[in-house]
Amino acid sequence: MRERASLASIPVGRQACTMTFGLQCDEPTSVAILDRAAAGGITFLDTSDVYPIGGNLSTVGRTEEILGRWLAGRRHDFVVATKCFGAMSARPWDQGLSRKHILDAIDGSLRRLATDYVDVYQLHHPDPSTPIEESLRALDDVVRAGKARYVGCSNYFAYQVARALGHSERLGLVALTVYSRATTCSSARSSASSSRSAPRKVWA
Amino acid sequence: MIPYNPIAGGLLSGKHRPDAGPLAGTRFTHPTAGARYRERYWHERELATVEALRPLAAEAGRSMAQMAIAWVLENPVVTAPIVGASRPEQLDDALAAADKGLDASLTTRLDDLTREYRWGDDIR
Repeated sequence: MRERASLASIPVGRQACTMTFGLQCDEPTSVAILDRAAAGGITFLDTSDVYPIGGNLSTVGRTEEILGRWLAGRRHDFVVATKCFGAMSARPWDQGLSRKHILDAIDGSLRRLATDYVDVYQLHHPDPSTPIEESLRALDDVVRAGKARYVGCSNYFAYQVARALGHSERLGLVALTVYSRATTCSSARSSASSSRSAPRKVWA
Repeated sequence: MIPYNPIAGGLLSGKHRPDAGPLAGTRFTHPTAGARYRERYWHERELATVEALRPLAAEAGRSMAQMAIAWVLENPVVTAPIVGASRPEQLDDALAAADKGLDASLTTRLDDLTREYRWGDDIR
């Protein structure tokens, strides 16, 4: 069964807050930011297992831990998104988008976020060393196991998204439905242009 | 589509000035992530665009960050821009952007002013 629901159909308050806490700001500041975001109606919280930004192997996971502590008791008030790809240890298999790593990575994120599921699980960057079919199969298992509600990708070119969608359709796997990309330095041919909604303006 | 860096790592907030160089305590001077952000956004062309945007924000009576986020929100493919903050008060611009929206004529002017960034392959 293919998943075709789009996160765009979930009212998320039209603002997402990215969580890269742990280096640029300490936990009390992080909590103050999260409190302010919640009070202001921000309902979509995005992070990554490898954050804080600018960290190293001794800091990976810290942002998710801070977010997990803050989310205690209010998990269902938010749409929570995280990602995998970055190196989580010095072991060569604890990174990338192999089946081995994706299945480990989601469990690590759920543990740190202290939740049973994330709403969106995203491939943080393309991994040229892993066939996309392998990653999509693993994501499908993650969704079927109830560990993620939707899957997506970040930093993919439009053609890479299009190919992934084709593979998902061919293999009957859950399809990537969330796309994330940097604003302003990108292009009409980047990921937004693969949206079937024929965007009037294309970027992101 | 949930675009990240809607204010280009802080460049579109207008707080940086080209001549002065990146401000201390920002993503552009972060000890480890700074180089990546400078490579991504700190270029003559982008800095010139920020200066061109400055009077438009002033004219609209909006902060530059608020104008930038509101512009992203105008795009129908966008579910939610991913805003980042290192201080709670930085969220105010994002919240105001969502509340107030953007005037159609200003949206058109911003579209025109930034058209060049939406062509060609993204390499950064």
